[in-house]
Parts: sequence; structure tokens; C-alpha cells
Amino acid sequence: MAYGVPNPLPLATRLRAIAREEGTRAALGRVANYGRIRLAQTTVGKAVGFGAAARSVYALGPTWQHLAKNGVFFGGERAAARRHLAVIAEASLPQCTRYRVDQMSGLARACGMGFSAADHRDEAESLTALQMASHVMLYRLEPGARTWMYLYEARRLGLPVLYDLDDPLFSVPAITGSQVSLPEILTRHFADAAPGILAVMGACDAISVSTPALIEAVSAFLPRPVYLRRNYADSDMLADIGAAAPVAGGPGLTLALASGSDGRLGDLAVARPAIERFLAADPARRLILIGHGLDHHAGLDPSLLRQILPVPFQDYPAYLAQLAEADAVLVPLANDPFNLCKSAVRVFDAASAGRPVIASPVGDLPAAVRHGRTGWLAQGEADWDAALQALAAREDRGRELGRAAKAELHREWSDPAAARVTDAGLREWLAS
Amino acid sequence: MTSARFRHVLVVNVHFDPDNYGGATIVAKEVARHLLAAGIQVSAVATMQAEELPPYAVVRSHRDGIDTFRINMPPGPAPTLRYWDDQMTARVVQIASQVGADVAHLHCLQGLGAGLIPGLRGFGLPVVLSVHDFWWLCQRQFMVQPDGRYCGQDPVRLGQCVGCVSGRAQLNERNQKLFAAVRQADLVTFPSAFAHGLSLRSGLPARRSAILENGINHPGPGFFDDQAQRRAASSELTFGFVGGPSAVKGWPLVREAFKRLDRADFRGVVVDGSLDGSWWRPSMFQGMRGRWNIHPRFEQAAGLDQFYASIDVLLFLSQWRETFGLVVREAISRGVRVIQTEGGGATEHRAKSRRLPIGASPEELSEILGQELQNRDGHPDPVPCRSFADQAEELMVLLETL
Repeated sequence: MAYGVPNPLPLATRLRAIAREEGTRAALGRVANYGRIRLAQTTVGKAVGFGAAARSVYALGPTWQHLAKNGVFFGGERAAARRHLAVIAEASLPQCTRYRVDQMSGLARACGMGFSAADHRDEAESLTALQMASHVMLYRLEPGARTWMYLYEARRLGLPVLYDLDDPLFSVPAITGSQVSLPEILTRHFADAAPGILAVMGACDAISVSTPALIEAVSAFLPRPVYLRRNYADSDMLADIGAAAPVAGGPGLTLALASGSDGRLGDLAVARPAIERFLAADPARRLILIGHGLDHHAGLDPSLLRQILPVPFQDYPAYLAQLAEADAVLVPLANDPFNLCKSAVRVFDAASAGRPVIASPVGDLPAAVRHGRTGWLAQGEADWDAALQALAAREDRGRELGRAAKAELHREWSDPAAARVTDAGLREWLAS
Repeated sequence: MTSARFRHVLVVNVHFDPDNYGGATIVAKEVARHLLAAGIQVSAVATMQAEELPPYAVVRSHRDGIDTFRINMPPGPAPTLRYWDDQMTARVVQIASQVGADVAHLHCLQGLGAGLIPGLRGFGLPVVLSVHDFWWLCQRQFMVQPDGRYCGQDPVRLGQCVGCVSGRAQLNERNQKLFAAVRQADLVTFPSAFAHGLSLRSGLPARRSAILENGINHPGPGFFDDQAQRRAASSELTFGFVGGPSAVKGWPLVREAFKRLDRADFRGVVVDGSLDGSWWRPSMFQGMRGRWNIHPRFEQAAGLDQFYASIDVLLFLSQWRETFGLVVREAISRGVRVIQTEGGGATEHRAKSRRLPIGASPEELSEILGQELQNRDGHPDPVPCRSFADQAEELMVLLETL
């Protein structure tokens, strides 16, 4: 069979368009593919074996074709009607994994479901989990061949798919509006990733998020059911503290401030002057900085350096033990679109350690702090001063508030299926 | 009937739907189908070889009420040589747990490993092992030596296997592990008295054993009409051969025998059982008398009757003693003559078939072929054979005794 030489002008135009829209590399890749296909269709191409089928971009690609050829492509009605949730997660951040993946197991079990979870990079476990599931949850997956493969496989198997996330990673306004002091290149990176994440979310049946503000943010983009699934106090949080703290608290009042990510200095700005005044008023007072993202002593006045104790994050029990060495835990948050979506886990951590918080009334924090009874909500600088003075004025160093916070944690925030924690709609979705 | 004790059977075989090849796979699938029809839920586990997928990844497919979970085998030696794989065991136990199986029916475990027996027993499932070949006694699976000759041991003694397989120590280890696993099965079944006797005489330590004869799919309602119509329309005798062009299935013997015939007024049909139609080429019939054609692969559910209606004589010249011989039963139950090698489970039937010893010469076969061609219209009556439904029912009775 003879093949004519195609008119090069439309091809060149198309190539220019691809280069403009997708980049030079993508355009060159298309040229190579086009050449391979054309050559494979010629006698010469066949003779030299050029144009042999390239490997599928999907590990499941040949298997899908095999199933299709044998008339068993679709998974059909599940013969085994056991309800089982498979979670495929971006699991590189332990704390996120704990709250959004491990805690999902509590909800699934409370709903009478089996549960399994796999790191999305582990294709053997992720694919296996899908095969035995009745429902699927993708946590924080970004677009890419592997994600599309999991989604397509879930569709082949007829599984409903939930997308879960706890940050507005899909929202350019939230990312660019954040007061977190990240290098511009990182902000641009996150902003560039947002459309892709939204595309993955859009390919799922429903979304679950950690805060009411995130529901609003998702709803602004997607006509999908969006359910609230708050982080809650799991068994690790409710257990007695059994670990030793890396550093001891001081004889004077001791504050703790934890950070799990970079660039949190913007959050501290609202409370920094009050904290500096509080520490300066008594050299016996201490501030324990836990984790990373608060380098250079969080930018506090250098004269206070001897009162500031940086402690690396070790593990969760040690972290709670460290919080318990303080008299109160600080949770300052800048009032920006990103933080509006923040959950109250830092408040729960403090309550678990039996300590009250002084927290910004941002995101979901007000839902978890009863001002003056389990901690203090402090909006502006004056509020932070007032809260710290209130702490200093208490003879019990805030212990009674801490006990109340812990009691409330057990009472109100320990049931993953409680209406306060999980929307009825999500429980129904899991039961469907 | 259905089982009062068991509601969900986990059927395990090296292959299962949609990879339907080999007699054991047909038996595993058909029995599973009839268990399902009897009201028992069935899930199947098998292997797959997809180099693009990571080892031990599972892919589920579904047909007619049965979920099949195929586990991707790691790269390495051929499935026959893989007799123990703890990761595979863990995966199968995981599947058993998640589908809620309450009993396991294991067939050919090549590639999956004998560790499944203790693994599933440890998980709390009663285990029935159905033996289909001599993999449990012979590392080469069919008791066929590297030179293609049947070894003929009875009983099998490991000392005599040295030289046939490499490494006495490895052979001993394999034997010990496999026998230790068999010992844990609640019931071991064999498809024929021959397989049962040889296995037990060779020391296979089944705590409890039974002969569970395989079934077949009976001829469909229109089969004998189609057969009669074809025979009336053509006076040519037609020979049929099912299997690949291998020495173990006796193809070289068939080819040489047909070269020696002094007449050519007949037809021959070979069935390409491969999944991709790669086993047979017309050049393989070069020099053979008669007109030879390649018949495409067929499934139990479609094409089985069509094939048997098109032949008069089945050539079953396997060069090892098969444990059962499914195609022999399919043929005799349809009034098709059989020329077969002597011995083994393939001869444990009530039909009169023409027989040759294993290792017979082409001249001996050629003489029998000539006699059959002389007796062109000597079509036998069909001989009733037991069905897969009968086999499934007997299995359910056995399950009740576990």
C-alpha cells in the first residue's frame, strides 16, 4: 500500500500550535510519534521493525485490552457484595496521611465497611485495593498517568469515587492570597498545579473536605456533591501520653508553638508583638518552637533568644508530650483565603495534651475553641495581649481550661460518624 | 442440592476465565459454574503474566456471576518451577478474607505455590485440593523426561528422578515442602483411579483422599442432528486432533503415521488451542496424506459441539499417562471414535477405543488408521459420561463431610 507525502503546511501550523500551547518538548514528542506511525505504515518501516508498538503509558494498558478482547472488560456487578473502602493516597506527608487517610478508616468502620489504604506510588497495592473495593477514595492525587489509570480502573470496576483533600490546592485565589512567606517560585508552582488538581477532582463523583470553608471553595469551582469530613480525635489523641518530652518546660509560664510546614512566619505576625512582650516581662518564661518553618527563632526579638527552645518534630506521642510541657499552646493564623480552610487539629493536639490554646479565630478553629472555657480566641494584637495576660493571671497556669478542653475533645470530637464531624451525606454515600 | 455449611467457595487455579486454556482450567471453571448454579457463591483466583504491572498486583474481572482475581506473577522461572511463594500466599489469603470465602477448592497451583494450603488453613478455611496432573510428584509435571519419553515410574521414587531434573537437594526440598503442604489439606481428590493409586503409592501424604471423576459438557440438543447431517453429506472420514504440535501430545507420531498411509480420501482437523492462534501453520502438514485444516480454538460454551460434529475419529495419542482425558470423554459421549494411547486415567471409560502403547511406532498407528479408513461407517453409539453438574454435586457432598 502506498502512502502519499502529506501537505506539510497544515502540519507545521499544527506543530506551532502545540509548541505554543504545550511547549517545545511536547511538540518534538509529537513529531517523533508522527514519524514513527508514518514509517510503520510503510514497507521499509515494517521490514526494519520500526514503529513497533510503544509501551502503553498506563501499566494496565495491555491488561485492559486483554480483558476487552475477551469480553470481560467491565467488572460487572460485584459478586462479593461486601462494602469496602479503598483509599489511594498521596502519602508523603505523615500528618496529612494520619488525619485524612488513617482517620478515614475510623469512619469506614463506623459505617460498617472494610478499609484498606495504599500509597499511590505503590501500584501493586493500590491496584489490588481497587479490585476488592466497593468504594474508592483518592486523597490529594495530582494528575498524571498513574492517577488517570486508577480512575479509569475504578470506572472499569464500576466503583464510585470520592476525592478528598484538606487544603485549597485547586484554588489559585487561595494559593496566591496566602500570607505564607513562600518563595515566589513555589507559589507559582502551586498555582500552576491547581488546574490539574481540579481536573482530577472533577473526574470524581463527590468531594470530601476537612472544613466548611473548603466546601465553599470547592463549590465555587465544581458542580459536585461536597461533603464535610472534619479531622477528629482518634485513639492516638485520646490515649494517655506515654512518651517523654524532648525538652522540659520552665519554672515560668511556658508557651508552645508548632509548625509542620515552611513559611509559617506570616501566620505568626499577628501575635508576634504580644508574644515578645509576654516573654520580655519575665525572663523565666519560655517559648518552645516545635517542628520546622519557624527558623531563626521565628523572627522574634533577638534579646529573647535564651527563652526560645527550638525542638524538632519527632513523632506524634513525643509531640504531644512536648505540648504537655507547656502551659498553653499558641495557634496564630493569618486571616487569608488559604487559612480560612484550616482545620482545628492543632487545637485538638493541645486538648489531647490537656492544655488550652490561644488561637486566631480563623478557619475551623472557632468550632473547636470555647473562648474563656477551653482556651482563648484572639483576633488582633490587643486580643493576643489580653489572652496571654489572662493566662498569666491564672494561678492554675491554665490547667482547668486544659482539662475542660480534653473533656470536650472526648465528648464532642471522638466519634468519626458524629454529625458534627461527618456530613450525613457522606455517610449515605458510603452506604450506597 | 446446595451446601448447608458453605456459602462461598474460593476456587483457585493457575488459570481461570478469561484465560481459558488447559483441561484443568476447564474443569475448575465448569465445576465453579455449577456450584454457582446450585446457589453457592464463587470467587476465583488465578495468575497472570503482565510485564507492565508490578508483581502481585491483582486485576479483577467478572463473568456470569463469578469474580476472577488474577494475581500478576513476578518475573522469573516458569510457573511449573514455582512451587512456593509466600507473597502469593499472602495475596490469596487477602482475597479470601475480603471476599468472605468460607472454603477453598484448589486445583493446579503452579505459579501460585503449595504454600496456599497451609496459608488458607491458617486463615481458617477448610481446603480441598483437586489434583489434575503429576506436579505434586514430578518437577516436570507430566512425568515426561527431557528426551520426551514418559518416565513410567510406579511408584515415583525421587532417587530415580536425579538426572531428569537438576539438583538432588533441590528436589528433596521441593518434595518435602509439597508433601508437608498436602498433609494439611482437608481432602485431596483425584480425577481417576490411576492418578489416585499412583499418587498414594508414591507417598503423597493425603490425610483423606477421594476419586472425584471429572465431568464434561454433554452434547447439546441439536448435536446428533448436525452430526448425522454432516456424515450424510460427505463420505470422507474425518480425523481430529486437539492440542499443540508437541511430542508430549503425540503430534510427531501422528504426522509420521499419516505420511505412511497409502490413501488420501479423508480429512484431518487440528484444533489450535492457543490464545493467539500461533500453534499451527499449514506447513506442519507437509507430506501427510489427506486434507488437513486448522480449526480455531473453541470454548466450552461455544464451538465444542460444532467441532465434534465435524470429526469421526479423535486422535488422542498423548505420550504420558494422563490423569483423566477430558477430550476422550467429550468424544465418546458424542459417538466419535477414539484412537488413544494405553493406560492412565484417559482409558478409564466404558467405550471401546482403539489403543496403542505409549511409545508405539508410526507404523503401528498407521495400521490402525488404515483399519479405521476401511471401516468408514462404523460409528459407535454414544457412551454416557458424567456431567460437570454431577461432578459439582459430588463435590458438594464431599464438602459436607469436611
